[in-house]
Amino acid sequence: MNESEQFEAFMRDHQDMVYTVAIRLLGNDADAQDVCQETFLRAYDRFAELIKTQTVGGWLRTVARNLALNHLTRYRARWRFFSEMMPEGEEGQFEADLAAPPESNAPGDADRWADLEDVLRRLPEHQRVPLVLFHFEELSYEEIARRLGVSLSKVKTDIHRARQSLAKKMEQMGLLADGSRAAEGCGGCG
Amino acid sequence: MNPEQELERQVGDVLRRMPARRAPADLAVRVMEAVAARQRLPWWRQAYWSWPAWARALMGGGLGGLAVAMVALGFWGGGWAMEWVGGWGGRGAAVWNAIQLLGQAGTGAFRQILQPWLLGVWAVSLVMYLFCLGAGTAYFRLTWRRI
Repeated sequence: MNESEQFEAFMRDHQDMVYTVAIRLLGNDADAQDVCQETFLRAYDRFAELIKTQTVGGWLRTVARNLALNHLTRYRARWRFFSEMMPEGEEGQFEADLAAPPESNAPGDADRWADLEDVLRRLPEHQRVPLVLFHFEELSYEEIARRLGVSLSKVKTDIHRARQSLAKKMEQMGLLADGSRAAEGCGGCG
Repeated sequence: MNPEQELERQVGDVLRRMPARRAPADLAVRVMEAVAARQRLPWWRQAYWSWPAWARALMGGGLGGLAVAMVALGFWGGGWAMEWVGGWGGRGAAVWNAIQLLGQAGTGAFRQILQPWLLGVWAVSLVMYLFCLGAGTAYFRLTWRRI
């Protein structure tokens, strides 16, 4: 197996993980593919070193996450200036926009997870990104605030609101037991 | 466990069960094409880490040497360097004169900037800019809300 074939096999082993990190942070397929490509090009430059390490998955994950965050910072800083000043009520539009999930799906099947991915993708960016960093990338609130350049209280509030929106949808999808959703207010925020 | 922690646990449990997304089928092809395109480039147009070892050593040594030389010149050879540049015949002197003229022009422009009337013009421009930004933001938000 030559180096190119070796790299292709390596990429096929890790591409789903890298793509998942990118698409959940960016919420956009084209951008996620760009980030994946850049991540693997960087991996190719250091392939000889990377292939020897046990932590290659972590390295790829970190690079993909950093590139996705850089992408968000670079391309969305301007309109974020406007969009993050949206009045509170406009966030409710997100929930109204989502169609009710189909009732017939069995719990845990592929369609249900796809629906949940769609719900996640349609969260406002300023809620989705910190939520993904907390729950999927396992960063602390402090680290998220530092990486996004926002206050700790904003991170907590945004994640809380994202969780509330998701919890409602999860209940409707049967992924959470009805009535088990906690914290209607924001007692733990700020 | 308070309600916020309970919500975090419940939502986190479901999110952890979400399977990884499947990457598009053509992603690997796209990356391999990009790799092949990069490999076709001459080595000096590729990433530094892809350069041959001798080129990396040469570049690293050269840049390091240049940095050391500049620092050393600044510390110990400032007067000597000026004399050397100044006495470097017609061309060196012309370059030195041009640098001095640029320095004087910069100093003069800086003094002009500090004139009170010019500061006033700048302040008015800044206020008008902020006004336009505020009006644009208000228009954007009102229009968006209407949509």
